[in-house]
Amino acid sequence: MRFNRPAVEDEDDLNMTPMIDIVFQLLIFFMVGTTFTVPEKKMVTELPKQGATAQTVPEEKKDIEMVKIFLKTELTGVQITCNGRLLGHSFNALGVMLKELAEVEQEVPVIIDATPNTPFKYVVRAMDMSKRARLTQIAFSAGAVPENLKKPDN
Amino acid sequence: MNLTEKKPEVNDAPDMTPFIDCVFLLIVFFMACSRFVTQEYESLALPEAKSGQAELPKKKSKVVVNINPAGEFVVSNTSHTQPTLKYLFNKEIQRNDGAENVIVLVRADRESRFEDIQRLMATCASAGIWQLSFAVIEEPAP
Repeated sequence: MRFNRPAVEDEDDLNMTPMIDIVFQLLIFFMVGTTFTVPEKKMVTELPKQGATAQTVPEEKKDIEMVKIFLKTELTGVQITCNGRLLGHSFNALGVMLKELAEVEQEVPVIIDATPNTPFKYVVRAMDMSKRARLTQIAFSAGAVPENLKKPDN
Repeated sequence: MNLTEKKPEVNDAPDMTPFIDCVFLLIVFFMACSRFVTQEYESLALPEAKSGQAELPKKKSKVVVNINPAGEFVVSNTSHTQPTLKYLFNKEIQRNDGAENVIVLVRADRESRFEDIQRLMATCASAGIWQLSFAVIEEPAP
């Protein structure tokens, strides 16, 4: 009796081990090298356009002309004033007041001003409170324009 | 005379060379890309807010200005003063056919001072750019 024995297949097989090794090495390299960043969000605002005139709405249509938020940095924190009313250090009180104002007048512009040394996080907080109260027309008080920027570009 | 043709030896093993080539090309591509992306963004502690939106208005050319706690303006790893920043803005406006197509993304550190933000806003206004966006991170839930 003759048996046809299959040839021993040892040479033709591709050795995958080194490739898998390399793939895992690369995977670990990228996992370690990747810095996980918190996704950033954006708060869009607009500066007054050049040459644009202030939009004036007739007095009789408006109950509130504008909302002025002033932030003053002190040693103990930031002092918040909204339309002349002192709110202490509480941004929640500012939020409540802005919501009340938004119920009276939705389209009222908000002007945020702060002392020069105020940390930006408080300014963003005030802006955030305004947006959450659905007051979207936010402006900032203008700083002094330096002399070298006043010159025309030509 | 034996005229039967010898069968050519067929190599069953797949050729891995193009595969490895592709993998390496992809690695180089992604490494190069990731470097370009991070160049514009400085490592800063951004302020927190709840009302931030995920995307900027489309079809706008974005200029990323980083403001570090020392009050320095950094664009693409280069420190700028107000006049050089204005020059940069003007070039961007020219390239995009008008200031209406340009938006400035302000990435200011949460501890940077308001006067530095005002200086940047004054520079934007003097260049004719009125569209501004502040980068924030989502405020964690209490």
